[in-house]
Amino acid sequence: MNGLFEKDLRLILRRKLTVLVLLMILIVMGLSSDNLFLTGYGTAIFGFLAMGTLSCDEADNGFAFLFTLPVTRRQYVTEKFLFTGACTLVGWLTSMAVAAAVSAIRDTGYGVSGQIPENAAILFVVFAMIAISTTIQMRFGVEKSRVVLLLCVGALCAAGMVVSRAGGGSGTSAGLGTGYQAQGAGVPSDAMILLVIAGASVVAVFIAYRWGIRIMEKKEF
Amino acid sequence: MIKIDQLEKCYGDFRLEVSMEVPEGRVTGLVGKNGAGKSTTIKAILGLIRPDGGSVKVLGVEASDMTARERSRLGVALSDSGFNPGLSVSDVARILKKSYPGFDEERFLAACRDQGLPADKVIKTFSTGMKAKLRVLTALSHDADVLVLDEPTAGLDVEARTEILDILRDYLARNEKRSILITSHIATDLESICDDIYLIHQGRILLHEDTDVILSDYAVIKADEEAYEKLDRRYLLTARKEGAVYKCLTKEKAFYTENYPGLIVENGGIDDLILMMTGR
Repeated sequence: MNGLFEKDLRLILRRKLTVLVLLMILIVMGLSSDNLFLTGYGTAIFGFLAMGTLSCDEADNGFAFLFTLPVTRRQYVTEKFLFTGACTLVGWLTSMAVAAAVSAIRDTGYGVSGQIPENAAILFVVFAMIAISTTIQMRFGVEKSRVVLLLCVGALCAAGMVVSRAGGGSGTSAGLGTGYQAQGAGVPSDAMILLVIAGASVVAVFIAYRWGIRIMEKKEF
Repeated sequence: MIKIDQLEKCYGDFRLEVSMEVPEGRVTGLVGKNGAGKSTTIKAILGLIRPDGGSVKVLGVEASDMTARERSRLGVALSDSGFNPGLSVSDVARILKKSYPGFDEERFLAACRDQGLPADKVIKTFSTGMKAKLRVLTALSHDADVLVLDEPTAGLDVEARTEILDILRDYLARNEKRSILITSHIATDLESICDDIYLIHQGRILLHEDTDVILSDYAVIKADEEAYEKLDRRYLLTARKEGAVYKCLTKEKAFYTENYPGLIVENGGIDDLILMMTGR
């Protein structure tokens, strides 16, 4: 499986310019957008960048050769989930770092530390989104999965709005920074919402992973 | 090393029914026209497709159950698939190093250099011949016990084909216990390297013979109608009329050269075998 990690890493490194441009966009967005949108966008972009290695594997009938290497199909799916998960996490951390730096430069008075639950929720949502998209791409191939990706981006935006509103904010920077707080009676707290999102994400990733293994084990190349 | 027992696979009207074996230390060729079933057989051996019936064992294990450990003992070159063309030779070397315990990076890079494959250029900039050489060198890079090579010389000029066959000969000379299964529709490529040949046509094995026997005992007889009528046809495998001449394939060259002195009896090769046994 180490060979697969090496392959994916090298495929990503071959797109250094793309990564650099994405980082630049993140910084520009950090200057003009709110922090939550920045982390959501940055995390998703890194996740989808990692998912692009699946398209590379599929291109030019690549799977046929790939599965002659010393790796089982189950190991392939496991590696792909671990790799995209790790890249998503790196994207989230990078976005958080950019958001923190931009907040410090702009001296907004509220950093990212006050938005940890919201940002964590975004990370969990993106994890689930990438996992589901990865499996759908394994099932349908690159072309059809693009439609699903568009739907996922829509879902991300909707989830971001829900999280932002549940956090007590109006969705604008004026409402941010309130962070992890207790709500009034009958209204779920941030911690509860985060737990629900985290739980749903774990279940979604697990189901996507199991589904991915079934798909790849049945495929013929 | 490889044992296929009554393998069955259907694709629409096409039906593959194959039994064959690649013993230890043997180089076995699988020849046939395009679409005969060579690549499907290879895919079944590599566990890339699920057979509809029969058994395909590689290194004593059912192909579909091969673990990473067993796969690491295989060296594979496919005609239509390889590493992503966006990677370079040095990238491939690093990936192989992490994939195979027996991979020797220095030897691999030296072999690539010797074959004119630049380490830092991406594969998509390579010519067809360079890509084919890289696929073969990749298969040979980790001292595999069994090589499975699907059309390694397809689409190449004579020089490039000769170079690839030389690489394979060097590989065999280093360890006599290695086995190779090689497919090709260019039969002359296999005459000098294979110990035995399977001829596949329309999904079925038509013939299995040692290469030496094919080259020494098989012959193509050319006879006009009168000579053909007088011919003892017990030892003819096939016969067909081309214009005014009958072309006949026999496995008993000596019988016809001794008993029919005036007859044209030409040495048979694998190409003749394919043409005579699968042609219309």
